[in-house]
Amino acid sequence: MAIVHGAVENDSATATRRSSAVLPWRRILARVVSGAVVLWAAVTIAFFTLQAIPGDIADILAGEQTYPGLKEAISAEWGLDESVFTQYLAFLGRLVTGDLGTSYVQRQPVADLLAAQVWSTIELAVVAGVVSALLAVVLAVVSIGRSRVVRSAMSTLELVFTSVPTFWVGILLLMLFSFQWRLFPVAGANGWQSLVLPVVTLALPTAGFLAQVIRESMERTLTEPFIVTVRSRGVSESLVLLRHALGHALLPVMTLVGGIIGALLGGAVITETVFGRPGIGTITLNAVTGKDIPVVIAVVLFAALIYVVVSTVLDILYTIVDPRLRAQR
Amino acid sequence: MNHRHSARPRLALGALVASAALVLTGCASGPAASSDDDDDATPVTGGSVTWGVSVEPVCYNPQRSGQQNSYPIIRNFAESLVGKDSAGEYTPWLADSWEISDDGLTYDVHLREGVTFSDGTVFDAAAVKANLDFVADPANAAAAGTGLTNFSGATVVDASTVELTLESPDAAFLDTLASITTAILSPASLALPDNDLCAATSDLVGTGPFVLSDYQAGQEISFEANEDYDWAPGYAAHEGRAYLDSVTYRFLPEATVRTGALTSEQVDIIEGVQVTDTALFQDQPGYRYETGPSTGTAFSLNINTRIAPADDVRVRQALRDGFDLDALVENQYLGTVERAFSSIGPDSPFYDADLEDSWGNDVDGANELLDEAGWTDRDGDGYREKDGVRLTIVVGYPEPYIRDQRDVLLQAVQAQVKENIGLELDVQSTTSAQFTDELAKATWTVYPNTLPTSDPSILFRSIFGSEGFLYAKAPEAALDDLIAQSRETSDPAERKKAFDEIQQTVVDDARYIPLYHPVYTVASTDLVHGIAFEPQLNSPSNSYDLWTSK
Repeated sequence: MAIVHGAVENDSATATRRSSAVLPWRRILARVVSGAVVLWAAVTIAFFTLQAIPGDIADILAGEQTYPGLKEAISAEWGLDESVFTQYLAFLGRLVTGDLGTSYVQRQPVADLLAAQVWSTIELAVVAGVVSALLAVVLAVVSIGRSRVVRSAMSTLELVFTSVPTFWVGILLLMLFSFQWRLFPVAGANGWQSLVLPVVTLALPTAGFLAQVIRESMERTLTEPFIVTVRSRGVSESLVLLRHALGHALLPVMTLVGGIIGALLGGAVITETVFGRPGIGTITLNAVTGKDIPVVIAVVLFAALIYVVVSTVLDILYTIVDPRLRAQR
Repeated sequence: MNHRHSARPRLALGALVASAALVLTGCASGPAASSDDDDDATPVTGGSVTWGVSVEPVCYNPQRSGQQNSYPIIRNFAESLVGKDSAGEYTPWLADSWEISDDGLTYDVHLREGVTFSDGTVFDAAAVKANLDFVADPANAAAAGTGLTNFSGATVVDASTVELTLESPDAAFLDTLASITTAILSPASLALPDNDLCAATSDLVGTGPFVLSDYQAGQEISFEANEDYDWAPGYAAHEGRAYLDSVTYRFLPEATVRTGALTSEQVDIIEGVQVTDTALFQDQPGYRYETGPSTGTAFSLNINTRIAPADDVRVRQALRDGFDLDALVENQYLGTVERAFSSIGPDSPFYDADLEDSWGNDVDGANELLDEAGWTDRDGDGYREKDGVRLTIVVGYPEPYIRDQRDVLLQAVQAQVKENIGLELDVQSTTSAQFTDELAKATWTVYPNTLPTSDPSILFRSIFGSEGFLYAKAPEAALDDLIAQSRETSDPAERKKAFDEIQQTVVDDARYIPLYHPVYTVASTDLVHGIAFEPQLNSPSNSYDLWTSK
């Protein structure tokens, strides 16, 4: 809500009301189409990368499995005796119908494998995302307008959060809170206790990075003329910070959400490994070490899908939220 | 050294005397004493134990899984016809006894009576036939099929007798029957749709001492004791149901996390102890530390004898002798593993002990060999040259197979042979697809690998035979005759003769440079008792003999 308020004050109220009746359909359509193109490109690159790897495709897809009858089964499923273009069309066709292929190492449909564990990763990533956002806001708001010493101390802390490897943070947290003080369990996904350490591990780097963006943006906003207007109305300084400066600062953050999702998914691979949690990260690691290529391809495409969907939806929301963009349709 | 003491006392049948003797030697040698003492304690039935294991199995079907680390878990519910003890002898298990015809082509197998699958189905000759026929049929794409290439069929004689016939005599056939890959599953499990065969579900049913109770992918798998179980293998330490009421395996891929989980008592026993953490558990009060036997192939360099400069036997021998392997292995693994002299592990009855101290660390000799081979010039970096070409041998190590810091060991070898003999050992990490490709074109140069244990005939067939992967394109280099000889006779002395000759040949002409013998390591709190290793696998046994005094 803060975002809407901030935006409204920036423009004339009448203009906002008039255009809010009509959504920027052309822009939304363009965004959806470009999202689809990105997805298609990801699928295409994945397919042709597989073709480019030295070695027989059936061998690559089979991983280490060499038992009799397997290559024939793979050939049949992937249509390996057809032309590359026919294989490509069939691959696209299967993906469109939600068929992610078969894992020959695990002898299961890849879609089932992912579906069984995806919620654990989503739970971890969403909670970590929320925690990092809250932490970032607190860090930014607390440090703004303070002395140079305080600000640079906070900034250093954020840099440390951003730059220490996730793996190391995870092990360190485990050593202190699980092995030493035994406050939280080492591994698994049983109850909230087992979520605490992985969430903190995953949230810290994102929080550090976000806090820097938010503070810089808030500082810039505070120099804008409308803040003078707000202050002149006698609004308290904390309200100026929280409602107006922060509201505006969150707009640039929205554009970063795609990258943040990527960081959370990437970090989840390491976090899940360290904490022995089920999830996409664990699937990915097992697939890479087990050379379970159909699963690796599916994970890549899944990551691309999440990224495209999230950034498209955010972009559309962004257009709706920020009336300045609507004028450009 | 521990494993020689630790593996044997678990042998129940007829080994009690030997076991007592080993306990004494264990005490005398010091370090192993603490764990051996406990064998006198009376086992307690009940309680549960939690493992921290390094690898989450991708497949729980014994007939399909190719993953070493999946076997100790699968063994809790899946059992074989034949057991194999640590002396390499075959013991009864689901089969009470067997008779082999004089021509070695027919096996009359008498099954144990009163055995049931945990779904209630009776274990009988028909179930055995269904399993072996299923596994041997290429259409079923079972990993186990490769061990049954000689198998021609099974006939049900009566409910508890099955006759197995072979196409040619095969001394490794009992080993195949003892293998986890021919474990007997409930016939209903065989009929599962192809895509459900690997999943850990209640549909995957065996005869084992434990029954699956819970599985959370990516996290853990739990089993409960099978109350009716009364058909333990001949090598087990007790009979009747498992001591434990339940056992859980938690998947903790990070070595540091496994260590921390054990020291903070969140798990009771871990597998895959990091070398640097050994000191936390070995000989420490409150803990046990055990290492498994080594009967598989050594971690070793397989050298392609058809590609220059390694096509010259003198260059290969110079590489073999150009570094101090004892020091490098000790330095890297801090005494947790043994330096290798031969291609198979020292705990195998077919290990050729004559090779010990017969090669390695002869820098002067290695330099002479290289001089003799014409590599007399030196380039600016100190490497030897011939006709302006540097003495370089590429080692392509497929990245997915790198573990236990084996790449670091190879880098240490690389540094020493540069320094000692001016040979450039170019250690590269490659992809497995690249290796598959090089294999198909026979352009691989040096391939570092180790094979999990099996009958040496099968191991040597895979490495040195023309049907195996490395010499498939060079039948003239293969040792097919010796391998066939070792497989056709069932006389252990005859077999040993053939195996010795293979072991000596490959080290003598340095097509194969053994480096060290990998072993499984286990650490636990001292409240866990009955830790054992399964000789057919070298890995920790299932949890049947484990008990806890928690």
